[in-house]
This record gives sequence, C-alpha cells and structure tokens, in this order.
Amino acid sequence: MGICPIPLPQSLKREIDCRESRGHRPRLPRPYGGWERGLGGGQGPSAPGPPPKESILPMKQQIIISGLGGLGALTLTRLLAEAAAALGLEVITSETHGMAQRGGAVISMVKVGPFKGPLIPAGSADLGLFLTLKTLPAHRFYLKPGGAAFVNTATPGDYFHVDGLALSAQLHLPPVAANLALLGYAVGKGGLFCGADLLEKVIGEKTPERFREMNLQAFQAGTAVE
Amino acid sequence: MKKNQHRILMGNEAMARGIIEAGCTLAASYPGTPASEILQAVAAFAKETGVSIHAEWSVNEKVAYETALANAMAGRRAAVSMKQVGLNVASDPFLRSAYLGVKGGLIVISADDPGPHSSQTEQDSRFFAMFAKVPVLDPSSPREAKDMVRTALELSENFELPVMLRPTTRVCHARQTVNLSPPEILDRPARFEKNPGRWCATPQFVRELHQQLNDKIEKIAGEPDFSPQLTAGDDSFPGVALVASGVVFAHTWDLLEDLGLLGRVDLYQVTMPYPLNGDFAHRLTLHYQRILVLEETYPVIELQLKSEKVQGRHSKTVPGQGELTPEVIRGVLEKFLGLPETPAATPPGGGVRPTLCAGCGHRAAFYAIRETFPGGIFPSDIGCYTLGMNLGAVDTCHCMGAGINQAAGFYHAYAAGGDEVPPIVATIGDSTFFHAGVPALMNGVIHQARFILVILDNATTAMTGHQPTPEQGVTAMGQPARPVFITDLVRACGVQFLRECDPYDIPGFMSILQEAHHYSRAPEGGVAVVIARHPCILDKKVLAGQPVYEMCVTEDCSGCRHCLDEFECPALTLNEATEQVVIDGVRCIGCGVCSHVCPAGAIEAKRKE
Repeated sequence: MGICPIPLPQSLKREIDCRESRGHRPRLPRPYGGWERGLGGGQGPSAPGPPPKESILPMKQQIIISGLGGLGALTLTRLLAEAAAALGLEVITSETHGMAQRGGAVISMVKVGPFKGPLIPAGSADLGLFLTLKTLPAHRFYLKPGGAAFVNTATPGDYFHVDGLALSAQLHLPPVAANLALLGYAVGKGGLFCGADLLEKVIGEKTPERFREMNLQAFQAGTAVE
Repeated sequence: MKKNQHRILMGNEAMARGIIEAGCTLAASYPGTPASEILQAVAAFAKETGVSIHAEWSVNEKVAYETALANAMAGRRAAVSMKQVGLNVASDPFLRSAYLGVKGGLIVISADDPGPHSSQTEQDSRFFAMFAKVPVLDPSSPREAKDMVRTALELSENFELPVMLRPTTRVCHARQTVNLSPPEILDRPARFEKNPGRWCATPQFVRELHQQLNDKIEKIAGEPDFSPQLTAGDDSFPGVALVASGVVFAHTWDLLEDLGLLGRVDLYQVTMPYPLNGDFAHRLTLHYQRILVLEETYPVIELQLKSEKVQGRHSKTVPGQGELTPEVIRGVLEKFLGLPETPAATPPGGGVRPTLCAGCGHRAAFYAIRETFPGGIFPSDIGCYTLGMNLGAVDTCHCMGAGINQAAGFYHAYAAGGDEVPPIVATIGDSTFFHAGVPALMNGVIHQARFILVILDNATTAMTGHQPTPEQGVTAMGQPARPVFITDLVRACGVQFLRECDPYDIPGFMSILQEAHHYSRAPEGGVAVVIARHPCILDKKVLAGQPVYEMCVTEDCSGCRHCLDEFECPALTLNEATEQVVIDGVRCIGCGVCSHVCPAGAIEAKRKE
C-alpha cells in the first residue's frame, strides 16, 4: 500500500511565506474566493475580494492538534500527514503517547514542507485544531500571533468554533466523530494547506473500513458549517 | 513488491522496517516507552513481507540481549531494542559483548527519553556506549534512523563488535515518509565456531581482547564515512561553529532557517557521537575560536573535544538537564550568536493529572490496601499501577523489581533496629513480576523478611501498549507460546501463604489482606503473597465480559468527599452547586466498585440487563 504523489501543474506550486503575516491579520488563502470572518481579536468580517485567479495552497504550514486522550487527535494527525504526502509535499509529525489514555492532555504537531524536526516552537504554529475547549489554555501559546484556532465547542470565544458533538448527534454518529467534523470545518474555512476533495479521498483510503462512512459524513457536515 | 515504495512511518516503525530489510533473523525486546513499537512493527513487517524471523518479547532486557547475542555469535544478524533504562538491565552482557565481539551483525537500539516524558532517569545511552567502547549512531529523523540500521549492522560485521543506534522520543514517535525496499535474504545457515579463548574469555584472555577492542575503536574513529557533515556558512560568523547531533540537529536546522541564518553560520551534524572522528576533533579546535555543541542528554561529544573553545552542557552554556526543545535551543543560539533575544513563551501551568482509568482493578486494590493498613509502608514498582500514588498507596518507585527488595529492606531496617514494624505492603504488576520479581521474592523468603506482596495481575503489560506477558501463552508473532504461571513461580520461591482475589470485591479483598498480615507476623510466618486478579478493562472483550451496573448517587450523599479523595475515580465528579457527588455517565463503565466505597452507602449499583 504505497502513496503515489499526485503531480501538480507548475502554477499551483507557489510558496506562501507564513512569516510575512506576523503581527497582521493573515488572509487565509481560499481556493474559491475571499473569507468571511476575522481572526484572533474578534475583528469584523472583511469584504471578500475578487476570487484569486489560481488556487493558492501554502507549501509550508505548521499545525498543532490539541485534545485529551481518546478524542481522536492521532487520527487527525495521520490524515493530515497522508494528505501532505499525497500532494507530494514533505511532512513530519510528532505525537504524545502513553499517558494520553490515562486522561492527560495530548498535543500533536504536523509540519508540512521542507522541515527537518518534528516539533513546532512556541509562537510558530500557523493554526491549531482543538478537539476540546479544555486544552485551549494549555496549548494556545504554540500559535503564532494571528494564528487561527479552530475549536470543537458550543461556547463562542476569540476563536473559530464548531459544535462537533451536536453535529455528530444530529447525524446519529458517536461522539468521537466530532474530530472529523472539526477537520471538515477547518478545511471549509480555507485554513488548511489542502482542499476538501483531497481530504475526502484520504479519509476514504486511510481510515478503517468500519469507520469510513461515519468519518466521511462527519467531515462533510463540518465543511458545510458557516 | 513495487520498487521505490514510499510510506509514512513512525520512527520506531522505520527502524523495524530497517531491521527486516537488512536481513535480521532474530529480534528481541522488552516493552518500554519510547521503544515499545519497534518489536511490534518487526512482527507486523515480517508478516507483511513473509520474511522468516524469530521475534520475541523477552522476559527482561538482559534476557533479550543475550538471546540476540547468541544469534550473532552463530553468524546471523540480530537486533535487540529497549528503552534507555532497559540498557541498565542489559548492562552486564552489553559491556562484556564489546570485548568478545560478534560474528553476524548485532544492533542494539537503546531509545533515550530526554525530559523525561516517561522514564525514571534522563540518562544518555551514548555515554553508556562510550563506557562500553561500543560505537553509537545518533539519528535526527525517522528516515535517518531507518538508514542507520543497515549502516550499524554492516559496521558491526566489518569490525565484529556490537553497534548501538540511539534514537530519542522525538525520533521514535515522529512520522515521516520513508522509502521501502524489499527485504534482503542473507543465505547464512547458523554456524557457531568453537573458540573458548574468545567466547569464554577467562581473565587471561581478556587483556588481549581489550587490546583488540581498543584497536577497533581507533580504526572506527578514523573512518571518513562517519566524519560529521558540514553545512557551510558564508563567513557571516567567522571562527564560529555549531555542532549538533540527533533530533537536536533537526530542531537547530529549522530554527536557523526561521532566523534566516541557515547557510550563514557553519553547522556540523554528528552522526557518530562515539567514537568521535579523530580528524574532525583535531581540525575543529584548530580552525574555530568558538564552538557550541548541542546534544542530548549528556555532554558526550563535548567531552571528546577537550578544548576550552568548546561550550555545551558541561560548560553550562546549554542547560544540563531537561529536553532541548526548540524553545530552549533558540535561547541558547541567540545568546551564543549575539542575536536579539526573543522573550521565552512560558507555557501556562496546570493541566490534567494522569490517573488510573475508570474501572481499573488496580484502583480497587489500592483502595483496599489503604483502608486495611492506614499506617502502612507501600513500596511499589513501575507500570500503570505506579499511578496508585494518587491514592496514597504507592510510597516508592525505583526501578523494575525494586519494590519487593525495598519491602524486605524496610522490614530489616525496622526489625533489626528493635522498633515496632509497621505493616509493609509491596505491590508489583504481573509483567514486572516476570521481569525482576522472582529473585526478589525468593530472597525475601530466604532471609525471613515479613511483609505482604500484592501482585496486581491485569493479564497484560498495560502502560506500554498491552504487550503479552508469559501467562498469556502467545508470542509477539501471535503464535502459541508455552505459558508460565505466576502462582507456580510464587510457590517455587518458597512462599507458604498464597491467595487470589478479584480486587473488585473490596470487602473480600480486605479480609484476605488481614489474613495475610496475621500470617506475616505469626511466629512461623513470613512473606505473604496475594494475587489481585482483574484483567485490564481497556480490552474491549474484557469490558464485554464483565457485569455492567447502572450507577447513581442518592440523596444520602453528605458531600464528605471520601470517594473523590480516597477512591479518585475519574467518573466521580462534584456538583459544585449541590455539593454532592455526581457520576459522569460518559466516563463511568459501570464496574460497581464505588458502591463499596461510600461511608454513607449513598452510591447504588443496579445490574443492567
């Protein structure tokens, strides 16, 4: 079971220097046009500009995935890594093991692009996926200034949020599907280095057969959330 | 298989793939974070590729080492893997094997845990290799770790001595795309050639073997292939060199890129920290004025450089303890290179404390022990059950098997001093008991110590990922194994009091503990052993096979917090408003044990149909 990288036309490979947006509200690149909501300090929506002529996908991106043991952080980490590999991008990830199932907080890191080390320094992550609000205070400091936080919670705050548990319940899926709903939500907001189509393909190929339908449903529901 | 396959693998899986691809025919290990996944992946890749390899979970690391060693003595390639403190257990054969050497290659994977994240020390296996005079390779990524397996085995065969590969947690548990190749099938029938002067090496032979070892190390230190690799700067920092190894090199690379300094300052990657290439060591101190060494966790490279121009952990330029995370390295680099210092981001304190799972049999056992012997001393050991600390029922945790010996030692300390001896109740897990408990128990019986030993048998090696113990009768490859039973071993140690009980039955368990205590203090008594047997509930089959209760807290709850503080199940929570305890329906598995705990009888268990 090997991965054959998908050859991309030259025009799609443009490097976005994420460091340039330090101190400014970053524009999340979207394949299909502008974006609606402010990041970080809760600033109002900006008027969406004309859709970009080509799809701009960042070639370097650093993502943290934070949660408690059992919430599916490792699944998201692996899916994002497989998506990067499918795009022919270098990727390296790190995980927390062991104490996780004993209720501890866990954090994984996904570094897409020509990085050598698996750790993201504090203040350097482009965005974070938080599977529960409980670990946001502990891990938020990894985000760079203006870095987006996508949180699985019903409680609004200075972050993007989606109630993954409610979504899962609506679809009659078990609570653990909330992790895929969160991923779908982040993709839908244009936050990630890859698009929804590729991730659906990766979910279809890389998650166990018996969870596939559930994962796809939760993911698609997440992408549709406003 | 297709040529040039790529796959995303964890560092441990990548090393396992390397072991299979390099034609090893024996792999032995004992579980230990961060190395546990290596042997599991060897078994998985063996099945996938159809390669014939003997892969085993040995009873302990010394056993694993000696078993692998004999395969190498018979001319076939072997691998042994463990965590860094496992090397302590294997130190006797490790040190000796450097002198006697091997015929087929022997790779020793010893995984360090800077921090530490899950170990009882932060020791550096490279330093151990230096002590043993064994060459050691230091990978900075999963990809490098895989490639270094073959390099290590080839080096081992060229020079006829074991070679160490030293990954750390961040390499073991990182994932990266690696190349897969078809496994090499080496046509080497086992052949042990007798040579008592070498393989028995009584003292009169050792001096000659030591000379040979010294010569081998000197030759390896002259091999240009292992000379550190330079990423040259552009003279922006003349006379300055950065020297890094392992994952610290990878962090440093990413940091320099981030700071815009990659290619501006001379950066060396050391892949063989010991023996450090002699030519490199000489040239470095000759051509540079300021040299910073970044390595984990002891100053192995720094000490071999022997120059005042060199700074590192020994010179206190780099912190002498704790993991060298990118944040720490950044601070060191900024100071060393004279860059503006970015304020260190302080992670917020607190977090969720790890605790035993809801429904864990160990919690019930520890609660019973504490309630029966409130003034007792509780030596314990290493495993999930160390979390009994939270219940105040674990007083010591030293190293594998130490709890039993400490129990005997505490007894002699009090008794020989003529003092009244408090109750002494040692606890040990099933896997730990097989690892190191037998000699300890035997010794306690022989020397007539008086204590209770509770063996916490959850039918698995839980903390490290549920590897089988000798009682399960299954091998690492999933084949039947001949089981060996704890009860037989306990009797063989000469113990005259042995009982078994399911700790879920707290009143029953407590009465057995009382019996055990009377036995241990009776004139003809001695060491009493109680086996607390309840399989780990993380196994879905176990959960499906035990009774499930609907739990609820009645109005009789007085808010005394006894269950929260003394039983500490994560499914018991306090409703701040009513000051009464509430059961968290999501976390509760319905084991029913807490109904024994409430002094007011306010927790009720109703059997679910």
